[in-house]
Amino acid sequence: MEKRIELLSPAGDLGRLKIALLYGADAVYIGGQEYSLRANATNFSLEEMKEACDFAHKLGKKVYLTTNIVFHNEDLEGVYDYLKSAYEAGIDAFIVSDPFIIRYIKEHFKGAEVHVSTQASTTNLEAVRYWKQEGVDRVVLARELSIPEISEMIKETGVDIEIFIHGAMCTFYSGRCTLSNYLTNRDSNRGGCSQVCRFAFDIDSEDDKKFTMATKDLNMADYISQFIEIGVRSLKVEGRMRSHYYLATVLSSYRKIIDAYYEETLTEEFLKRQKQILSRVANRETSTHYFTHEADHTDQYYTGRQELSNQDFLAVVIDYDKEQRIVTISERNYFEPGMEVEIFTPSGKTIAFTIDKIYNENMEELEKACHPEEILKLKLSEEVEKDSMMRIKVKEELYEP
Amino acid sequence: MKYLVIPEEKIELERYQEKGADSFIFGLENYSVNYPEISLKEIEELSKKHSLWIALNKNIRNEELDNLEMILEELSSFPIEGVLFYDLSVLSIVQRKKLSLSLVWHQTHMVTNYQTCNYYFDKGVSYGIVSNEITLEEILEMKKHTKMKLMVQVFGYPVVSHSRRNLVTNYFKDIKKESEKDLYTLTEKNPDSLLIKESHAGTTILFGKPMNGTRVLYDLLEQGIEYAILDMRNLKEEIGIQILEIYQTIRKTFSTSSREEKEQIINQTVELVGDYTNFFYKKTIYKVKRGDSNEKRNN
Repeated sequence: MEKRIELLSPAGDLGRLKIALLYGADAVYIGGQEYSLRANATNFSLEEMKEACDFAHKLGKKVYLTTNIVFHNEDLEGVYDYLKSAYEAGIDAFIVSDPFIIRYIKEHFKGAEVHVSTQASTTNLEAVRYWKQEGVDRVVLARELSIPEISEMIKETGVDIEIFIHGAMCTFYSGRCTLSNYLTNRDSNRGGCSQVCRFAFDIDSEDDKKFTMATKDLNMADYISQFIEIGVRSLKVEGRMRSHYYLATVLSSYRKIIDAYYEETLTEEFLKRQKQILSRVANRETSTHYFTHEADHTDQYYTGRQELSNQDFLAVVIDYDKEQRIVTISERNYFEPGMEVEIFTPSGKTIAFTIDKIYNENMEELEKACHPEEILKLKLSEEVEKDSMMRIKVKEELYEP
Repeated sequence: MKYLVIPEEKIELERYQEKGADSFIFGLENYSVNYPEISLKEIEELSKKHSLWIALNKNIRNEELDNLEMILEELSSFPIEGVLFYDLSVLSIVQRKKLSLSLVWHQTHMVTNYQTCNYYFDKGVSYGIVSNEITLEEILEMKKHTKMKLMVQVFGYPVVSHSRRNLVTNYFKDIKKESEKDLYTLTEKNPDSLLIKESHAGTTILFGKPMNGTRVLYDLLEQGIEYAILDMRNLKEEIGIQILEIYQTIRKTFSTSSREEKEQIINQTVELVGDYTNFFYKKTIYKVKRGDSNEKRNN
């Protein structure tokens, strides 16, 4: 059977993990309470890790654990016990950047894979060969590479290659930045990054315009077919601290693009629609960065950049009553009768409709929905699954990406 | 202990050598990040007269690999002390070609624990440049648990970050002006500043104060650390010379000096370059308490 490309999602906690897997991710990467580069995300306890693995494995999907900090002496004690507990919880692969743990994992945890993190900034095929020789199963490449370079690495090494396709970017080579250490005393290579690259600085030049170095986000929706064709193994979405809605929207769109490619139904119009949906959930401008060109000033933000707050997400589906044809939802953002909305489901359906009447839990009619988390009911003729999400309808004419 | 000096230019070598420099670190042109660069020819010539370590510490690309292999072969025929590497392609090629070259693990911010030192030592890497972001206590613990010979920067502007992007050029393009100089200072609300500069390899950021590791030097000497690195760049040559003279005195007298004499010497260097001790006595954190000012500012 054809080995299809993997769609890999971040999951900052159990709730996000379930959403990611339900909305189309083939695998998720998570952080535990220790050794992860998102020390300030909620992260997973060992019990939650086990629940996560059980949930994923029942769906035939995988869970990868990030253990990709740059270790200090004080972090060494207990690391092997921690890895063992994670393996016993069902973790399928360990994402590492510090090489001393690779051999330990390969020797002690049968079947567990080792993925070298992008933190190692692997930028050439000789370095990929080095990792292969060390027993590494997959290399997550640096984000400073072009598609031809990636293609060459795959052809020449035969190693499984993972690349980032969507989300925020680092300005500096991963692992080669300690701005956070120097300006905020937070260790970037141990999960404490305070994103100093997004600060605005004064520069000692004659111009008084603020100096910024932040980059635009990444969006590679146009290149999924190409990645499949050159043999990339896994497509990774960034953002362990992103919302449920963001994950559902982004994963759902990439799932559809990937599936359409394999089903030979990927048309330009279809792709355009998915890009429009992706652009609605983005809060920053996007670029393809080094994948397609030598990144320049057009790939960065300068003073005046806008981070848009997104009010599209209206509600999440809790239940559907087939007999009464009523959907029960939990409100997230304001909506009212007459608004054009759509519900998108984990199985990939999108049902567009106009809000008619809004009811509270006791079926008393309301003028508007304006209390986040309030339980509401709507009449809806088509059945929708639990965890489906309702958003403002994405109209082609309004949302040019 | 040996003193490795990073000079601004190669004309300074004689003077530094007279004042106590044992070796010099240069980058190979087009293959290094944040080192004074010289050509292979110059390395060949200089290595006849001086003890040299050569940095090949940029992130290497596929298209550079063939050339890198030739360079490493050529370097192995020169009487240099060793090659500083960041990218694993350097280690891989040296292993594969069985080249007679001493290697220095120089993954700038990643040389932070003894287990990984031991991992690379087992791969034939005999030396490691300790990251600037760890404490003196951590350095000394590493020393206890590894056979790798450690090199510690004790003087000069610390490297903070490196990007492939041309951040200065991009900024000036955006405001439609030409860049006026090679080195700029960035300041923010934080009282500390940064220095930013571009090279063929992208953009490098340095911290805005030179590190003064004189106090630490005494501990490093007493604990038998093998190498101290002094980066003399971005400072007047005279300051570099004076610092080196003082460090030479320390090397000769550290075991017999009284506490008062040591303090007097430390104060001399503080007068020259200030008292910034980097992370030697300051531990970084990575888990932030809710309500921390930085958390509020960035989330």
